[in-house]
Amino acid sequence: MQRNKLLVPVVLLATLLMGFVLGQEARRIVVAQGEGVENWDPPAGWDTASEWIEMNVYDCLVYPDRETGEMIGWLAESWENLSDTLWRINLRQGVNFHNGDPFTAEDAKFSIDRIISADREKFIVFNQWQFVKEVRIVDDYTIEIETTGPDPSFLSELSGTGCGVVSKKYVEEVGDDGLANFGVGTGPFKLVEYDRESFVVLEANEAYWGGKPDIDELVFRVIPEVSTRLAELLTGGVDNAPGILPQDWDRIESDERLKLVQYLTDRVYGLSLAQTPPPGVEAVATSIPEIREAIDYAIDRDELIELAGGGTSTLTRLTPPIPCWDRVEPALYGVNPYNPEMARQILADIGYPDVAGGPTITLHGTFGQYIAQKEIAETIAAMLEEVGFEVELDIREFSNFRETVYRGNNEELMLQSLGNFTTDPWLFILNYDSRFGERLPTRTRFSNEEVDTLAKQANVEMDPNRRCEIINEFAHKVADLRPTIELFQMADTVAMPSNVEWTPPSDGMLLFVNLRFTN
Amino acid sequence: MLDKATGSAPNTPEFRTNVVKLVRRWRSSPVGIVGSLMVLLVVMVALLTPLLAPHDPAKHNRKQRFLPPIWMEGGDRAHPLGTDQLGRDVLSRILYGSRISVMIGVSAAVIGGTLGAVIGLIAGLYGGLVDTLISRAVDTFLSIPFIILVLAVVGILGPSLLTLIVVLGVTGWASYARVIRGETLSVKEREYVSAAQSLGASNARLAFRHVLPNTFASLIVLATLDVASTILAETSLSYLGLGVQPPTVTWGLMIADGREYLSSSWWLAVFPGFAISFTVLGVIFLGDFLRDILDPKLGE
Amino acid sequence: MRGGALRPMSGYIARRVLQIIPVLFGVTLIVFLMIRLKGDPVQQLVPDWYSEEQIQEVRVAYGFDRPIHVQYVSFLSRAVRGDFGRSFHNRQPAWDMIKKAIPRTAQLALAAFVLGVVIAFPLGIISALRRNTILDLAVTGFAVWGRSLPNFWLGIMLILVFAVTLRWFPVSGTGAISGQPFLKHLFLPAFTLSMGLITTLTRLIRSAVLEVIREDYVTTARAKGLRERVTIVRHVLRNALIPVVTVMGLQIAWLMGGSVIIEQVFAWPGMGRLMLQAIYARDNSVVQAGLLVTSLIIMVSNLVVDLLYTVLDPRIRYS
Repeated sequence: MQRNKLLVPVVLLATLLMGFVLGQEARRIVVAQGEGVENWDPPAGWDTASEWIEMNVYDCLVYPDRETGEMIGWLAESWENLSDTLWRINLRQGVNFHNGDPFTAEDAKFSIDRIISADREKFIVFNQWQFVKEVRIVDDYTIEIETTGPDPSFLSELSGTGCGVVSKKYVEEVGDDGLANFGVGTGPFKLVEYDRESFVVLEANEAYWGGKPDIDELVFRVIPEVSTRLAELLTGGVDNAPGILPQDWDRIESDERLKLVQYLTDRVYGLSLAQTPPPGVEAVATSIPEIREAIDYAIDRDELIELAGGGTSTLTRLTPPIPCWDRVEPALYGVNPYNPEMARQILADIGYPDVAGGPTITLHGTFGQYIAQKEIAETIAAMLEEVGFEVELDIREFSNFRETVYRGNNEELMLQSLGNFTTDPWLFILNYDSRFGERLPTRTRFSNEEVDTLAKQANVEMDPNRRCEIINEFAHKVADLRPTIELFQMADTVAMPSNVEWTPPSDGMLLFVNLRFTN
Repeated sequence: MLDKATGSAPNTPEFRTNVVKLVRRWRSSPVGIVGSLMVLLVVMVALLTPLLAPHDPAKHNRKQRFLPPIWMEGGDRAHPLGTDQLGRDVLSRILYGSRISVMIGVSAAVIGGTLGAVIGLIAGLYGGLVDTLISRAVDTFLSIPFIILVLAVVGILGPSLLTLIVVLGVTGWASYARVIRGETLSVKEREYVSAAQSLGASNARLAFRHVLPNTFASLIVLATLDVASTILAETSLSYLGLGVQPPTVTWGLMIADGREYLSSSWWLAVFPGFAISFTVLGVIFLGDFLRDILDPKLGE
Repeated sequence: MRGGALRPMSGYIARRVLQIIPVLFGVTLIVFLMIRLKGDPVQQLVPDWYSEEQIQEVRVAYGFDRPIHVQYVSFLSRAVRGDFGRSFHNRQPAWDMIKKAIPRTAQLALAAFVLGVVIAFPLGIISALRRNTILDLAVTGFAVWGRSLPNFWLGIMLILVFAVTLRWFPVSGTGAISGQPFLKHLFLPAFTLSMGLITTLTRLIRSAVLEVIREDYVTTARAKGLRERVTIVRHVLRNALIPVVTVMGLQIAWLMGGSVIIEQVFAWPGMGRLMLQAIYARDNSVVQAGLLVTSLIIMVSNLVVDLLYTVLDPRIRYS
């Protein structure tokens, strides 16, 4: 009896609230995310979730068009390369921040200055912005940027992590802590409410320079548990979620309110191969070129793609499309070098005639970041054993993985996923340039003079044609030496309401400005 | 506490009487019979796994992923409980999983029990400042939520089978120490121990000859129930990604991995769930039975 | 005895409150040493690419280069003021993050507690009164079976049944987004969390009631012609309450611990989620602050339970 007494007002309230929401006919999209926004200060973190969500609130000066690879102006209207080291940027006029502050050259300069004048401790992207030497204000809507050297990737680097433009006045008012807690940008959506552990509520910026978005209210919910996210999708608690696993596709497609869209991301699953042993270990099998080759032939990419949901994942031996792509020989893209007999033959030739008792290799992996991560590591181990390797699988929880293995304590193989969030090859080059120990070289300990020389040339060559030739040569060298073995380009599957049209950008950024309702 | 009324003679430890009593009670207790049979079955399975398991638990089979159990359409006689996302035999994995799951439970209980018993004994026997210090340490550990402490420590040390066993064992000492301390005090108060003490018996002798045999019953009861909660704790750790990692297989890991496939291949998470439920139930039955006859006060 | 009861009682309370101090001290020591289990905590704080010189800079900046006892004293003196340092991950003061999460976990734990009591009392009493019937068997069976289920598993199953299939309750969250009432959002996670409490309490109440029923005075009361229900309420419940209250003290620690998993399953933004994320990210200041605060909550609840205990049963020794 008592329970009924309680239920009546509860039901009444629920009906009222639902009526309220429906009556307004607000176009609302609720997106499920595994993680929330840690910090609204654009250069403070590179947690993917923070970045994905933030990019709806902030604008950068320039941003790459994912279809064409060309740079397009956001808060920059146009730009001019005055000399090898000097760029002039004309800014968009009449743009206001969400709090009403007008956007001027002061804000553009301030946003870059606060990164390059800080340190690595404060802004994690600090090193990536060292290409900027100085930002000068020419007038209210013009700035000049001087680079530290000739920089063919200037525009691409200008759109790197931390590029969101903040309001100078606002940041000086509220301080770094205030900005971390509540972001104010010029982007298509403005922040309304933020609960770090739970949700982000954004509202359409009516005055957006690119036109008001079709969504009125954009909500991100933090739901860490995979099965809970699926349950929310099926019950209408959320209506948009990336990273839908293949095993749940049928379930979602049978729901008429929802549809699935698969798209190709710029992430590539690959192995890094240690060329030298880590401290405390005597030798690694992968220091022998033939063994690296045998590993390449032993792995069936088609099967791995099937594990990851099949569909549009593409076979590749390189990181994803870059402007010079058309000049890179097709042999490096779209091929599956799988040939177990060849792998066995190579092993036999170097003194392992029997299928049992081949070289012992350790394969490091982790889980929880990307689709079928653990399953792919386990399957690669099985494939390598089939051609005669003895594989020791070492799978660790992510923070432990980062701390131990990722820092260069890895032995032979490590399963990794590399993204190229820029449309310029600079990041690809950086991965094999032994002078940049920060990134991949820590794990591959790959060092090749020719490769380094080519990298150095590519990094300062301002002539696009000549630069592409250098990069092509570079790519072939790397593919031959195998500091990494690329496996396939990952596809992601997004669930969304059936009455919207939306193509998620390949860099995984969840930019919702281009989402359109069809009814 | 042990039956004071029986008042055994100083040199015949009471636990011998208890064993006789235990066997007699066991025969008339359905819970005791069922519980010990369940536990026996699990232990036998764990020991005989290599003979029982039809397949190598780590053997992938690309062509036979997600095979349903034998009684469903598409089931294969070679895989009675179906196969998982990598085509591995679910039955074999459950059988092999029993070894690690049971091992984690038992070793953690043995480590925690031994540590707790020794510390509790020391507190009870020496009394005074030592006792006060130990008692406050016990209070301290009991006021930190066990699972959060274990998570934090495993998070810092990094999960491995050994870390899990040691952390689950070591962090569980406090409840043993508290009970054993109390028991020790009460045994000590009894005349025969006082008599032995006045005759000049050393503390060590006192502990091993008189106190330990008398507290053994409580220790066994506590440890049995601890095995059950440790097996469950391992499952939670696996769920949160801080449990053992492949190629090692535990039931907890199987459930944690299988939950992602619940909507399409329920058998991946449900069968190991049954295995855990069965084992934990058996252990709880056995523990409850032992407690009821040996040490009824512990339950409170 | 009666007249003098007040004085030993207040003495007892004072002693009991003072007992918290060494325990709290012990917890700070554990929390302090915990992050140093693997040697240098700085190694876990810094990003992968830091050089030895940069690591040394951080070590000095955070004071990890000082002797360990100096570090402890400084940790303690800051902790007393609620200063646990900033989250290494998002640079917010750890205490601010904890402060926001406490009420949410408190709501969950309190609801679980109430649900546990509301469900366990009738179950325990009924099964005791109808001892050895099918009903009794079903209740005791449920109480034992409930103990054998991993709680995340139970949570996922409850979502599938009650939220996805039956649609009685929303799946997850607190209702800030869904627009559905808070109480509806609260039910499933609170119920999952209370499962351990329900099973333990049911068994305990059943045996407490059985014990009391056997005692003479109930028989006497019955002989006097009192109706059964009155008998139960008067005598049985009051006496059964004592062991129950004792167990509740212990259960609070379990509720706090269980919240880590339940909050993960139900996307409930409380202490459990916060601490789990911090554990994953090696965000030591948040882990330390969280553990300390959680333990303090448990200690205070235990204190309240102990005091309640003496009120319920003044015969209890004040020692």
